[in-house]
Amino acid sequence: MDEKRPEDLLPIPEEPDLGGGAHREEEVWDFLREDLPEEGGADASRADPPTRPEGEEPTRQREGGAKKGRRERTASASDGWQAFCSKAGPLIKEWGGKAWAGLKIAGRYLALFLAFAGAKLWQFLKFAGRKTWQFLKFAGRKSWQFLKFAGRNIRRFLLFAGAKIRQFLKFAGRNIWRFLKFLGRHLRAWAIANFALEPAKALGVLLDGLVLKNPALVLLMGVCALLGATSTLRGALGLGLTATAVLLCAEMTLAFLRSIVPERLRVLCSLVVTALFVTLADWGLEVWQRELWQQLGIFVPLLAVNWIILTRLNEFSCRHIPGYAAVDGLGTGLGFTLALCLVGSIREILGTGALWGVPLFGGETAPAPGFAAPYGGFLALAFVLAGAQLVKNLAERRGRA
Amino acid sequence: MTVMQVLSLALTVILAENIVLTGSLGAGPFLRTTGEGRIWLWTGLLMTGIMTLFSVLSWLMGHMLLTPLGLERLLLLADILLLGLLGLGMQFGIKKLLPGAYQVLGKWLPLVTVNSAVLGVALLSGEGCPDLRTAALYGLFSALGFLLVSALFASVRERLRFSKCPKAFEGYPIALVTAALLAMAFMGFSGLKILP
Repeated sequence: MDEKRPEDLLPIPEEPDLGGGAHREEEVWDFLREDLPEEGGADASRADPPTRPEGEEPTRQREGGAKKGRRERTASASDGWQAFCSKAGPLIKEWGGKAWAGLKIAGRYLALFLAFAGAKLWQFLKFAGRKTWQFLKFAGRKSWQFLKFAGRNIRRFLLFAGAKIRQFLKFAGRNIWRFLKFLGRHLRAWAIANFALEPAKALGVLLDGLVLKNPALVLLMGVCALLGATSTLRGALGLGLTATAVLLCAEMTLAFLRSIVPERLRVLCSLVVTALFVTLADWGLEVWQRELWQQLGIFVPLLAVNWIILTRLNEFSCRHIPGYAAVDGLGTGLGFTLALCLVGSIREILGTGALWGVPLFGGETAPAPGFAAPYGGFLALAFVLAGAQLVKNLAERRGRA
Repeated sequence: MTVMQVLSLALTVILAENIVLTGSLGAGPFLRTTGEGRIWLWTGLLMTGIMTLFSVLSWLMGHMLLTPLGLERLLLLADILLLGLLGLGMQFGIKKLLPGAYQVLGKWLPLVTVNSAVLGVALLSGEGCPDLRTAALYGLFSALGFLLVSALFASVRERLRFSKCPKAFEGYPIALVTAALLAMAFMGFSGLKILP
């Protein structure tokens, strides 16, 4: 760097009578301001001779040395110009020199800088251009390579995928068909194993439950329900059908479980299964047949300890496939319902003189009101059982004869 | 509970509202009791124990376990499970402790535990009894009523063995008619009360 300052380069002439730059500047402006009206001539606001000298007076007296030139100036334009030149010349020179020196220095630096910057820029541009060109070449080559590769390989991939999909579809088609056949075969086997019934045997089971070994009329089980819930036919039928449904479900469940349940837990298991279905039946009756449920009261829960159901579960379901269990459940349940309905209709007709709520003998007449009382249950059941025994004896006598 | 209240409950449950003759509960074991080998006595005594125990257990289970849990609707299932376990235990215990009774009762032994009297009394006491003592007394007096009625019935059936009846009525029908007469006789006790 150049150590010289602009002041050193340009000698500034000394001005002994003036204090600072501000005074000189003020003077320059004074001249300019006083010259204007003379040259324009038409400005009315500015052309006010008496006021201007007074306002200018302090500056003139203070300047001292310049007084003469100022008085002469008003005489003509050329005088003013000469005064101006004599006054402004050194100033312009001074300022111009300073500016020129500054400009020269700045120019030198600027030139240096520009040269340097230009060189660098040029270098950079060359470098960048080379690199860009390299990159473009590289990228083009690579993309071209990739496109070639992709084109070749997409085709290969599509061929490959198609082949695989075709293979899989062929495989799946063949195997779904095989799987369906397999499933069908096993379902059929399962159905045959669990539900294949010989019609004769199934009919025998049904008849056993319904008539020949009727649990209520022949074996006298479920007496509690037969006595307690048979005061009307409606209640008897409702309880009988509930018992049938419970028996059917419980027998089938236990027949499915027959290989799992060990011998010694069989009673407990049948108790729990029965209780489960009785609970469900109880809830069902409460929801859908509330009147009947209220009428039956405690006798629906008591189906859970009904020995008809428990005996059939223990003796039949554990030795037979679910199909026969279902038939047996239906037969036994309907046999029980039959007995219930017989006792119920006898008690309702004799006890209240009506059947299913419809009066039979006109009005409130009841042939034997005692049949509606608890002991009537015993009596009615006794007569029904006696009738069953009578039929049985007659049939035996006819068979013997 | 005063003595009079206990006495009143006893009279009501044993005589006026006998579970067998007016409530038709436990009719199965009742009709199967005969005088042979004092089946009626064994049945009655075993049922007394079981009914008292089970009505206490059922009341406890219903009021202490299921109601706080909000499972009142599963009372039947829980009762049956308890009853089954009780029955198994009792069968085992009687086989070991009372071989005589085991031989006499034979195949009717499960019927002594699992019957509508035991479950019905437990359900009724669970619904109707406000406290545990009432439930226990209710179970006990119900069982005593059963014992009383089956003693009467067994003796009547002893007489029936030597009497003639129509062929169609032999066996259970005539026993049922007898039971009906007994029930009719017990109707005379209906409305029996000590306390108003």
